[in-house]
Amino acid sequence: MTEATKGMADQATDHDDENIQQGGRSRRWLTLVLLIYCLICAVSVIGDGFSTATGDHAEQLFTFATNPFVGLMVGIIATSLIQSSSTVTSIIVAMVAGGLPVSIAVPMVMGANIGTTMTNTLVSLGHVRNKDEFRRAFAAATVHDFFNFLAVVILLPLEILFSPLERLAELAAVVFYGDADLSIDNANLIGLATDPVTDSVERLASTLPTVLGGIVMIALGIAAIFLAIRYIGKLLKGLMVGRARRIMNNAIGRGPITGVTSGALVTLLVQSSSTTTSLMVPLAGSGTFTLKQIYPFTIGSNIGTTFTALLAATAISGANAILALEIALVHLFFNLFAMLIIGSLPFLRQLPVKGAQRLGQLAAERKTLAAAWVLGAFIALPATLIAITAVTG
Amino acid sequence: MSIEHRIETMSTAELRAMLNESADLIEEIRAELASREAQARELESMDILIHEARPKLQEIRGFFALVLDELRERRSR
Repeated sequence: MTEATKGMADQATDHDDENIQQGGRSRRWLTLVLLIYCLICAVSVIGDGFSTATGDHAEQLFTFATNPFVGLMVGIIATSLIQSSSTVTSIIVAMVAGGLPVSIAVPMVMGANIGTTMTNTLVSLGHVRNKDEFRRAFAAATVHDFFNFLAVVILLPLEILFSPLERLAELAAVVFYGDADLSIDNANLIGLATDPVTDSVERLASTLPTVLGGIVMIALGIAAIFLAIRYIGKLLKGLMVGRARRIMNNAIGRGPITGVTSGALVTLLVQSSSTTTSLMVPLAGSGTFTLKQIYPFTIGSNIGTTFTALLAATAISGANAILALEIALVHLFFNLFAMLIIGSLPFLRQLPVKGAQRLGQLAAERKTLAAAWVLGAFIALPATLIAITAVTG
Repeated sequence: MSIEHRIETMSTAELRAMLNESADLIEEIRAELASREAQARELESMDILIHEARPKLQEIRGFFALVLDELRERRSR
Protein backbone atom coordinates (compact mmCIF):
# COMPACT_ATOMS: atom_id res chain seq x y z
CA MET A 1 0.00 0.00 0.00
CA THR A 2 1.35 3.43 -0.95
CA GLU A 3 1.72 6.26 1.61
CA ALA A 4 -1.08 8.19 -0.07
CA THR A 5 -3.51 5.24 0.15
CA LYS A 6 -2.52 4.68 3.80
CA GLY A 7 -3.19 8.35 4.58
CA MET A 8 -6.58 8.17 2.91
CA ALA A 9 -7.45 4.99 4.83
CA ASP A 10 -6.46 6.67 8.12
CA GLN A 11 -8.57 9.70 7.27
CA ALA A 12 -11.53 7.46 6.47
CA THR A 13 -11.13 5.63 9.82
CA ASP A 14 -10.97 8.96 11.70
CA HIS A 15 -14.07 10.11 9.87
CA ASP A 16 -15.88 6.85 10.77
CA ASP A 17 -14.85 7.24 14.46
CA GLU A 18 -16.13 10.80 14.45
CA ASN A 19 -19.43 9.67 12.90
CA ILE A 20 -19.80 6.88 15.47
CA GLN A 21 -19.05 9.37 18.29
CA GLN A 22 -21.52 11.85 16.84
CA GLY A 23 -24.11 9.10 16.50
CA GLY A 24 -23.56 8.03 20.12
CA ARG A 25 -23.93 11.60 21.29
CA SER A 26 -27.12 12.14 19.32
CA ARG A 27 -28.53 8.88 20.73
CA ARG A 28 -27.73 10.06 24.26
CA TRP A 29 -29.43 13.43 23.68
CA LEU A 30 -32.47 11.67 22.27
CA THR A 31 -32.58 9.34 25.29
CA LEU A 32 -32.33 12.41 27.51
CA VAL A 33 -35.34 14.02 25.84
CA LEU A 34 -37.30 10.77 26.27
CA LEU A 35 -36.33 10.57 29.94
CA ILE A 36 -37.44 14.17 30.55
CA TYR A 37 -40.74 13.30 28.85
CA CYS A 38 -40.98 10.24 31.12
CA LEU A 39 -40.31 12.43 34.19
CA ILE A 40 -43.00 14.91 33.21
CA CYS A 41 -45.51 12.13 32.51
CA ALA A 42 -44.67 10.49 35.86
CA VAL A 43 -45.36 13.73 37.76
CA SER A 44 -48.70 14.02 36.02
CA VAL A 45 -49.55 10.34 36.76
CA ILE A 46 -48.75 10.79 40.48
CA GLY A 47 -50.90 13.93 40.62
CA ASP A 48 -53.86 12.10 39.03
CA GLY A 49 -53.27 8.99 41.16
CA PHE A 50 -53.11 11.04 44.36
CA SER A 51 -56.30 12.83 43.46
CA THR A 52 -58.02 9.50 42.60
CA ALA A 53 -56.82 7.70 45.73
CA THR A 54 -57.70 10.47 48.18
CA GLY A 55 -60.89 11.51 46.39
CA ASP A 56 -60.46 15.20 47.29
CA HIS A 57 -59.65 14.28 50.90
CA ALA A 58 -55.87 14.80 50.61
CA GLU A 59 -55.94 17.42 53.35
CA GLN A 60 -57.53 14.99 55.83
CA LEU A 61 -55.06 12.28 54.82
CA PHE A 62 -52.15 14.59 55.62
CA THR A 63 -53.54 16.00 58.88
CA PHE A 64 -50.58 14.33 60.63
CA ALA A 65 -48.30 16.69 58.69
CA THR A 66 -50.20 19.87 59.51
CA ASN A 67 -47.58 20.27 62.23
CA PRO A 68 -44.82 21.91 60.14
CA PHE A 69 -42.07 20.09 62.06
CA VAL A 70 -43.52 16.75 61.02
CA GLY A 71 -43.62 17.95 57.39
CA LEU A 72 -40.00 19.02 57.74
CA MET A 73 -38.99 15.64 59.13
CA VAL A 74 -40.90 13.80 56.39
CA GLY A 75 -38.87 15.80 53.84
CA ILE A 76 -35.56 15.07 55.61
CA ILE A 77 -36.18 11.34 56.01
CA ALA A 78 -37.58 10.82 52.50
CA THR A 79 -34.62 12.61 50.89
CA SER A 80 -32.04 10.91 53.14
CA LEU A 81 -33.46 7.51 52.14
CA ILE A 82 -33.87 8.20 48.42
CA GLN A 83 -30.67 10.33 48.25
CA SER A 84 -32.23 12.71 45.73
CA SER A 85 -33.94 15.98 46.59
CA SER A 86 -35.00 16.36 42.94
CA THR A 87 -37.03 13.14 43.18
CA VAL A 88 -38.62 14.14 46.48
CA THR A 89 -39.50 17.70 45.40
CA SER A 90 -40.91 16.40 42.09
CA ILE A 91 -43.12 13.97 44.06
CA ILE A 92 -44.21 16.82 46.36
CA VAL A 93 -45.11 18.93 43.30
CA ALA A 94 -47.18 16.02 41.99
CA MET A 95 -48.90 15.56 45.35
CA VAL A 96 -49.79 19.26 45.48
CA ALA A 97 -51.27 18.86 42.01
CA GLY A 98 -53.27 15.94 43.46
CA GLY A 99 -54.73 18.02 46.28
CA LEU A 100 -52.09 18.23 49.04
CA PRO A 101 -52.32 21.77 50.49
CA VAL A 102 -49.30 23.98 49.67
CA SER A 103 -48.97 25.02 53.34
CA ILE A 104 -48.36 21.36 54.32
CA ALA A 105 -45.93 20.85 51.43
CA VAL A 106 -43.73 23.89 52.22
CA PRO A 107 -41.95 22.38 55.27
CA MET A 108 -41.52 19.11 53.32
CA VAL A 109 -39.63 21.00 50.61
CA MET A 110 -37.43 22.61 53.28
CA GLY A 111 -36.79 19.14 54.74
CA ALA A 112 -35.80 17.84 51.31
CA ASN A 113 -33.19 20.61 51.19
CA ILE A 114 -31.64 19.33 54.43
CA GLY A 115 -31.94 15.65 53.50
CA THR A 116 -29.93 16.12 50.32
CA THR A 117 -26.86 17.19 52.29
CA MET A 118 -26.51 13.66 53.67
CA THR A 119 -25.02 12.38 50.39
CA ASN A 120 -21.86 14.47 50.44
CA THR A 121 -21.46 13.83 54.17
CA LEU A 122 -21.45 10.09 53.41
CA VAL A 123 -18.93 10.68 50.60
CA SER A 124 -16.61 12.46 53.05
CA LEU A 125 -16.54 9.34 55.29
CA GLY A 126 -14.41 7.65 52.61
CA HIS A 127 -11.50 9.93 53.63
CA VAL A 128 -11.42 8.67 57.22
CA ARG A 129 -8.06 6.85 56.95
CA ASN A 130 -6.12 10.11 56.69
CA LYS A 131 -6.76 12.45 59.63
CA ASP A 132 -6.03 15.79 57.92
CA GLU A 133 -7.78 14.76 54.73
CA PHE A 134 -10.83 13.65 56.72
CA ARG A 135 -10.91 16.92 58.70
CA ARG A 136 -10.97 18.96 55.48
CA ALA A 137 -13.38 16.63 53.62
CA PHE A 138 -15.83 16.38 56.53
CA ALA A 139 -15.81 20.17 56.99
CA ALA A 140 -16.42 20.70 53.25
CA ALA A 141 -19.38 18.32 53.40
CA THR A 142 -20.94 19.59 56.62
CA VAL A 143 -20.75 23.27 55.61
CA HIS A 144 -23.73 22.38 53.40
CA ASP A 145 -25.52 20.76 56.38
CA PHE A 146 -24.91 23.84 58.55
CA PHE A 147 -26.06 26.26 55.85
CA ASN A 148 -29.26 24.34 55.14
CA PHE A 149 -30.08 23.84 58.84
CA LEU A 150 -29.50 27.56 59.43
CA ALA A 151 -31.75 28.42 56.46
CA VAL A 152 -34.56 26.34 57.97
CA VAL A 153 -34.01 27.79 61.46
CA ILE A 154 -34.44 31.31 60.02
CA LEU A 155 -37.11 30.78 57.38
CA LEU A 156 -39.39 28.08 58.83
CA PRO A 157 -40.56 30.16 61.85
CA LEU A 158 -41.11 33.14 59.53
CA GLU A 159 -43.10 30.93 57.18
CA ILE A 160 -45.20 29.53 60.05
CA LEU A 161 -45.99 33.06 61.28
CA PHE A 162 -46.40 35.08 58.07
CA SER A 163 -46.13 32.64 55.10
CA PRO A 164 -43.93 35.03 53.08
CA LEU A 165 -42.60 32.33 50.74
CA GLU A 166 -46.04 30.90 50.02
CA ARG A 167 -47.50 34.36 49.36
CA LEU A 168 -44.66 35.42 47.11
CA ALA A 169 -44.82 32.14 45.19
CA GLU A 170 -48.58 32.58 44.81
CA LEU A 171 -48.07 36.07 43.36
CA ALA A 172 -45.36 34.84 40.99
CA ALA A 173 -47.46 31.87 39.88
CA VAL A 174 -50.43 34.14 39.17
CA VAL A 175 -48.14 36.41 37.12
CA PHE A 176 -46.96 33.36 35.18
CA TYR A 177 -50.42 31.92 34.52
CA GLY A 178 -52.25 35.23 34.30
CA ASP A 179 -55.92 35.47 35.25
CA ALA A 180 -56.90 32.67 32.92
CA ASP A 181 -59.56 30.25 34.05
CA LEU A 182 -57.47 27.36 35.33
CA SER A 183 -60.37 24.99 35.58
CA ILE A 184 -59.98 24.25 31.88
CA ASP A 185 -56.74 23.13 30.24
CA ASN A 186 -55.66 26.32 28.55
CA ALA A 187 -52.77 26.15 26.11
CA ASN A 188 -50.63 23.90 28.29
CA LEU A 189 -48.56 22.34 25.53
CA ILE A 190 -46.64 20.07 27.89
CA GLY A 191 -49.89 18.95 29.47
CA LEU A 192 -51.25 18.14 26.00
CA ALA A 193 -48.08 16.21 25.12
CA THR A 194 -48.29 14.07 28.25
CA ASP A 195 -52.04 13.41 27.98
CA PRO A 196 -51.75 10.26 25.78
CA VAL A 197 -49.48 8.55 28.34
CA THR A 198 -51.30 9.72 31.48
CA ASP A 199 -54.70 8.89 29.97
CA SER A 200 -53.51 5.37 29.08
CA VAL A 201 -52.21 4.77 32.62
CA GLU A 202 -55.45 6.17 34.04
CA ARG A 203 -57.52 3.86 31.80
CA LEU A 204 -55.48 0.85 32.93
CA ALA A 205 -55.81 1.85 36.59
CA SER A 206 -59.56 2.38 36.20
CA THR A 207 -59.99 -1.40 35.86
CA LEU A 208 -59.01 -1.64 39.54
CA PRO A 209 -61.06 -0.43 42.54
CA THR A 210 -60.79 3.41 42.79
CA VAL A 211 -58.44 3.70 45.78
CA LEU A 212 -56.23 0.80 44.67
CA GLY A 213 -56.08 2.24 41.15
CA GLY A 214 -54.92 5.57 42.57
CA ILE A 215 -52.29 3.89 44.72
CA VAL A 216 -51.00 1.87 41.73
CA MET A 217 -50.72 5.11 39.73
CA ILE A 218 -48.79 6.79 42.55
CA ALA A 219 -46.42 3.79 42.86
CA LEU A 220 -45.85 3.66 39.10
CA GLY A 221 -45.24 7.42 38.98
CA ILE A 222 -42.76 7.36 41.88
CA ALA A 223 -40.84 4.46 40.30
CA ALA A 224 -40.77 6.29 36.94
CA ILE A 225 -39.57 9.58 38.54
CA PHE A 226 -36.89 7.74 40.48
CA LEU A 227 -35.57 5.92 37.40
CA ALA A 228 -35.91 8.95 35.10
CA ILE A 229 -33.98 11.28 37.45
CA ARG A 230 -31.35 8.61 38.06
CA TYR A 231 -30.71 8.06 34.34
CA ILE A 232 -31.02 11.75 33.45
CA GLY A 233 -28.25 12.37 36.00
CA LYS A 234 -26.08 9.60 34.54
CA LEU A 235 -26.53 10.83 30.97
CA LEU A 236 -25.98 14.48 31.84
CA LYS A 237 -22.79 13.65 33.71
CA GLY A 238 -21.38 12.16 30.52
CA LEU A 239 -22.72 14.87 28.23
CA MET A 240 -21.97 17.89 30.39
CA VAL A 241 -18.72 17.03 32.11
CA GLY A 242 -16.64 19.19 29.74
CA ARG A 243 -18.91 22.21 30.14
CA ALA A 244 -19.06 21.76 33.93
CA ARG A 245 -15.24 21.64 34.06
CA ARG A 246 -14.99 24.87 32.05
CA ILE A 247 -17.47 26.59 34.39
CA MET A 248 -15.51 25.49 37.45
CA ASN A 249 -12.20 26.44 35.86
CA ASN A 250 -13.52 29.92 35.10
CA ALA A 251 -14.71 30.33 38.69
CA ILE A 252 -11.24 29.80 40.18
CA GLY A 253 -10.09 32.93 42.00
CA ARG A 254 -13.14 35.00 41.01
CA GLY A 255 -14.85 35.41 44.36
CA PRO A 256 -18.07 34.26 46.02
CA ILE A 257 -20.64 35.54 43.50
CA THR A 258 -19.00 33.63 40.65
CA GLY A 259 -18.76 30.66 43.02
CA VAL A 260 -22.51 30.72 43.70
CA THR A 261 -23.30 31.16 40.00
CA SER A 262 -21.01 28.34 38.92
CA GLY A 263 -22.42 26.04 41.64
CA ALA A 264 -25.93 26.74 40.36
CA LEU A 265 -24.91 26.23 36.71
CA VAL A 266 -23.04 22.98 37.30
CA THR A 267 -26.01 21.63 39.30
CA LEU A 268 -28.38 22.70 36.54
CA LEU A 269 -26.20 20.87 33.99
CA VAL A 270 -25.87 17.61 35.94
CA GLN A 271 -29.35 17.90 37.55
CA SER A 272 -28.12 16.86 40.98
CA SER A 273 -26.99 19.01 43.89
CA SER A 274 -25.64 15.89 45.61
CA THR A 275 -23.31 15.27 42.66
CA THR A 276 -22.10 18.89 42.65
CA THR A 277 -21.42 19.03 46.37
CA SER A 278 -20.01 15.49 46.55
CA LEU A 279 -17.67 16.38 43.67
CA MET A 280 -16.06 19.05 45.85
CA VAL A 281 -15.44 16.75 48.83
CA PRO A 282 -12.30 14.97 47.46
CA LEU A 283 -11.01 18.31 46.12
CA ALA A 284 -11.33 19.77 49.63
CA GLY A 285 -9.91 16.63 51.21
CA SER A 286 -6.73 16.88 49.14
CA GLY A 287 -6.40 20.52 50.23
CA THR A 288 -6.60 21.88 46.68
CA PHE A 289 -9.74 23.87 47.42
CA THR A 290 -10.30 25.64 50.73
CA LEU A 291 -13.54 25.53 52.70
CA LYS A 292 -14.15 29.21 51.92
CA GLN A 293 -13.88 28.50 48.20
CA ILE A 294 -16.28 25.57 48.41
CA TYR A 295 -18.89 27.37 50.53
CA PRO A 296 -20.36 29.64 47.77
CA PHE A 297 -20.32 26.75 45.33
CA THR A 298 -22.41 24.73 47.80
CA ILE A 299 -24.95 27.56 48.16
CA GLY A 300 -25.21 27.76 44.36
CA SER A 301 -26.01 24.05 44.18
CA ASN A 302 -29.10 24.66 46.35
CA ILE A 303 -30.40 27.09 43.75
CA GLY A 304 -29.51 24.94 40.72
CA THR A 305 -31.41 21.96 42.08
CA THR A 306 -34.74 23.83 42.16
CA PHE A 307 -34.97 23.60 38.36
CA THR A 308 -36.19 19.97 38.44
CA ALA A 309 -39.27 20.82 40.53
CA LEU A 310 -40.01 23.76 38.21
CA LEU A 311 -39.76 21.41 35.24
CA ALA A 312 -42.01 18.92 37.03
CA ALA A 313 -44.58 21.68 37.64
CA THR A 314 -44.89 22.33 33.91
CA ALA A 315 -46.37 18.83 33.55
CA ILE A 316 -49.46 19.74 35.52
CA SER A 317 -52.53 21.04 33.77
CA GLY A 318 -55.98 21.94 35.06
CA ALA A 319 -57.14 23.60 38.25
CA ASN A 320 -54.14 22.66 40.40
CA ALA A 321 -51.44 23.67 37.88
CA ILE A 322 -50.99 27.00 39.60
CA LEU A 323 -50.55 25.30 43.01
CA ALA A 324 -47.96 22.90 41.58
CA LEU A 325 -46.01 25.85 40.20
CA GLU A 326 -46.45 27.63 43.53
CA ILE A 327 -44.73 24.86 45.53
CA ALA A 328 -41.93 24.62 42.94
CA LEU A 329 -41.43 28.39 43.27
CA VAL A 330 -41.43 28.10 47.08
CA HIS A 331 -38.42 25.79 46.70
CA LEU A 332 -36.64 28.37 44.53
CA PHE A 333 -37.53 31.37 46.76
CA PHE A 334 -36.56 29.49 49.92
CA ASN A 335 -33.04 28.92 48.57
CA LEU A 336 -32.73 32.42 47.12
CA PHE A 337 -33.80 34.09 50.38
CA ALA A 338 -31.58 31.80 52.43
CA MET A 339 -28.64 32.90 50.29
CA LEU A 340 -29.55 36.59 50.52
CA ILE A 341 -30.23 36.61 54.28
CA ILE A 342 -27.30 34.45 55.39
CA GLY A 343 -24.94 35.86 52.76
CA SER A 344 -25.63 39.50 53.51
CA LEU A 345 -25.23 39.34 57.30
CA PRO A 346 -21.54 38.83 58.18
CA PHE A 347 -22.17 37.10 61.55
CA LEU A 348 -24.59 34.63 59.90
CA ARG A 349 -22.36 34.16 56.82
CA GLN A 350 -19.49 32.93 58.96
CA LEU A 351 -21.58 30.54 61.09
CA PRO A 352 -21.69 27.57 58.67
CA VAL A 353 -17.95 27.88 57.93
CA LYS A 354 -16.98 28.10 61.60
CA GLY A 355 -19.39 25.32 62.56
CA ALA A 356 -18.10 23.03 59.81
CA GLN A 357 -14.45 23.76 60.66
CA ARG A 358 -15.02 22.98 64.34
CA LEU A 359 -17.01 19.83 63.55
CA GLY A 360 -14.29 18.75 61.08
CA GLN A 361 -11.63 19.13 63.81
CA LEU A 362 -13.69 17.21 66.36
CA ALA A 363 -14.60 14.48 63.87
CA ALA A 364 -10.95 14.01 62.87
CA GLU A 365 -10.04 13.54 66.56
CA ARG A 366 -12.99 11.29 67.39
CA LYS A 367 -14.67 9.35 64.61
CA THR A 368 -17.54 8.55 66.98
CA LEU A 369 -18.57 12.22 66.80
CA ALA A 370 -18.66 12.09 63.00
CA ALA A 371 -20.88 9.01 63.22
CA ALA A 372 -23.05 10.74 65.84
CA TRP A 373 -23.50 13.72 63.50
CA VAL A 374 -24.52 11.56 60.53
CA LEU A 375 -26.90 9.36 62.51
CA GLY A 376 -28.15 12.17 64.75
CA ALA A 377 -28.82 14.90 62.20
CA PHE A 378 -30.44 12.77 59.52
CA ILE A 379 -32.02 9.87 61.40
CA ALA A 380 -32.27 10.26 65.20
CA LEU A 381 -33.31 13.94 65.30
CA PRO A 382 -36.12 13.62 62.72
CA ALA A 383 -37.31 10.32 64.24
CA THR A 384 -37.30 11.74 67.80
CA LEU A 385 -39.19 14.86 66.78
CA ILE A 386 -41.79 12.81 64.91
CA ALA A 387 -42.16 10.51 67.94
CA ILE A 388 -42.58 13.48 70.31
CA THR A 389 -45.17 15.03 68.02
CA ALA A 390 -47.03 11.72 67.74
CA VAL A 391 -47.05 11.21 71.52
CA THR A 392 -48.04 14.77 72.39
CA GLY A 393 -50.57 14.88 69.55
CA MET B 1 4.87 61.75 41.71
CA SER B 2 6.44 58.87 39.76
CA ILE B 3 7.60 55.68 41.55
CA GLU B 4 11.24 56.37 40.56
CA HIS B 5 11.08 59.87 42.04
CA ARG B 6 9.40 58.58 45.18
CA ILE B 7 12.13 55.92 45.60
CA GLU B 8 14.90 58.54 45.24
CA THR B 9 13.40 60.67 47.99
CA MET B 10 12.88 57.80 50.47
CA SER B 11 15.26 56.99 53.33
CA THR B 12 17.38 53.81 53.31
CA ALA B 13 15.35 52.34 56.21
CA GLU B 14 12.12 53.01 54.37
CA LEU B 15 13.49 51.44 51.20
CA ARG B 16 14.62 48.31 53.13
CA ALA B 17 11.16 47.99 54.70
CA MET B 18 9.53 48.44 51.31
CA LEU B 19 11.79 45.79 49.77
CA ASN B 20 10.87 43.31 52.52
CA GLU B 21 7.17 44.00 52.04
CA SER B 22 7.49 43.59 48.27
CA ALA B 23 9.32 40.28 48.72
CA ASP B 24 6.46 39.04 50.92
CA LEU B 25 3.90 40.24 48.39
CA ILE B 26 5.71 38.51 45.53
CA GLU B 27 5.84 35.34 47.60
CA GLU B 28 2.09 35.58 48.26
CA ILE B 29 1.33 36.15 44.57
CA ARG B 30 3.50 33.13 43.64
CA ALA B 31 1.69 30.95 46.21
CA GLU B 32 -1.75 32.10 44.98
CA LEU B 33 -0.82 31.43 41.34
CA ALA B 34 0.56 27.99 42.24
CA SER B 35 -2.63 27.16 44.15
CA ARG B 36 -4.82 28.25 41.21
CA GLU B 37 -2.74 26.16 38.81
CA ALA B 38 -3.09 23.16 41.15
CA GLN B 39 -6.85 23.70 41.27
CA ALA B 40 -7.07 23.82 37.48
CA ARG B 41 -4.94 20.63 37.29
CA GLU B 42 -7.24 18.83 39.77
CA LEU B 43 -10.28 19.81 37.74
CA GLU B 44 -8.73 18.08 34.70
CA SER B 45 -9.72 14.77 36.29
CA MET B 46 -13.35 15.88 36.58
CA ASP B 47 -14.52 13.13 34.17
CA ILE B 48 -13.55 10.59 36.83
CA LEU B 49 -14.56 12.73 39.82
CA ILE B 50 -18.07 13.38 38.54
CA HIS B 51 -18.77 9.66 38.14
CA GLU B 52 -17.27 8.78 41.51
CA ALA B 53 -19.09 11.55 43.39
CA ARG B 54 -21.43 9.20 45.22
CA PRO B 55 -21.32 7.37 48.54
CA LYS B 56 -19.69 3.96 48.38
CA LEU B 57 -21.10 1.29 50.65
CA GLN B 58 -17.70 -0.28 51.25
CA GLU B 59 -16.23 3.04 52.43
CA ILE B 60 -19.19 3.71 54.72
CA ARG B 61 -18.88 0.21 56.16
CA GLY B 62 -15.13 0.81 56.65
CA PHE B 63 -15.86 4.08 58.46
CA PHE B 64 -18.33 2.47 60.88
CA ALA B 65 -15.88 -0.40 61.49
CA LEU B 66 -13.32 2.23 62.56
CA VAL B 67 -15.93 3.90 64.78
CA LEU B 68 -16.63 0.56 66.49
CA ASP B 69 -12.88 0.01 66.97
CA GLU B 70 -12.61 3.46 68.54
CA LEU B 71 -15.52 2.73 70.89
CA ARG B 72 -14.06 -0.67 71.88
CA GLU B 73 -10.68 0.96 72.52
CA ARG B 74 -12.28 3.59 74.77
CA ARG B 75 -14.18 0.96 76.71
CA SER B 76 -11.08 -1.18 77.27
CA ARG B 77 -9.15 1.79 78.69
